[in-house]
Amino acid sequence: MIDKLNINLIRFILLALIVFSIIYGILRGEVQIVLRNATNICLDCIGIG
Amino acid sequence: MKTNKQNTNLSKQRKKRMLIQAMGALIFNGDWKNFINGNIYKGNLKNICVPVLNCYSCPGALGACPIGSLQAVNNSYQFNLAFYVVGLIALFGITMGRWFCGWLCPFGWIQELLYKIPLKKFRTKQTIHKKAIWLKYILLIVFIFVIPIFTQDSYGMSSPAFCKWICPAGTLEAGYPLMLTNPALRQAVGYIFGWKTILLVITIFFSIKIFRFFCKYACPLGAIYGLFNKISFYHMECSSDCIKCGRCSEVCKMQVEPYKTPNSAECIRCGECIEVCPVKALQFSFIHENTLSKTETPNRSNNKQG
Repeated sequence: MIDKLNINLIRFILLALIVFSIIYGILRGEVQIVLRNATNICLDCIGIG
Repeated sequence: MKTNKQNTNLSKQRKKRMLIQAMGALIFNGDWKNFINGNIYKGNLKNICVPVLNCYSCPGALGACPIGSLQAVNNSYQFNLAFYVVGLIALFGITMGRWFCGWLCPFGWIQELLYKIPLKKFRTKQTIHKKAIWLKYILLIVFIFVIPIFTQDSYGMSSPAFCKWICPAGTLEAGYPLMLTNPALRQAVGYIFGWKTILLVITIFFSIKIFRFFCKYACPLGAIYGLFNKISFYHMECSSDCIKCGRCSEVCKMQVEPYKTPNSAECIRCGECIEVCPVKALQFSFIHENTLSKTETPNRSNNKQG
């Protein structure tokens, strides 16, 4: 049986780590790579590359 | 009488979900004019990953595909781990689990439409099914993490192996629409496109026969969300009112046994089991509205036997 308090604690700790991970990724410039790849036709994705 | 009411509720639930899935597909691919001019949307919305498997080279795609983006950042020369994309995928997973698969994913919706084609259907034998579901985890590890490490060029870059060699969603949503409308791309078609077309045909064939074939056995995004199903804020609970009649297992096309494992990694949160439960023992909950002590325990001693 999963304890009610523990699972909520795990969820909120994970949520905090996730938010930290997103912010860290944004700050080090990952968003620009996502945008660059997503705004050019991905030849690999469509089977040409 | 009660069964009729349950069937009516089930039918309403299916229609509601189909409608939301259709809306999801239209919204995530909302730049419709590109389907005619053979180009893709290039705006700033593509900074953000959508929570579903939707190729960012689909002409209408307004957001970035999380699996494509994960590979793009991991395989770039600057970074080896995509904190931003992993964080976004985990955020979607921790909040809703595989709900996105069941209610918003355009490729999941397409497979469900294919399953409506009136041909003989298969329900994979449970023994085979339980082994086959691991394939998506193998694809996730091998094609998204392992192959890129071993195929890096001298600049530390590699191609997105899953998109390039496997993803049928990319072939269907991006490859064919762009080929049909963009003559320059048509000229560049090679053997990889042929290989991906074969995979797409296989996926379509089995999706007609087996409910959500790709989602069950091959989707890496579903695999990641599935890992979150047990701990996601939005989850399913089965109360001690359960009479273990097995009606929920019968109706579940993802081959889950909701009364035993309400938060199985395979559950896409479609909610059909809830509609058919004769004693309303199953329900969705956000955080914890109900007593969790009644859930996740298949061998409950206080169960009434049906």
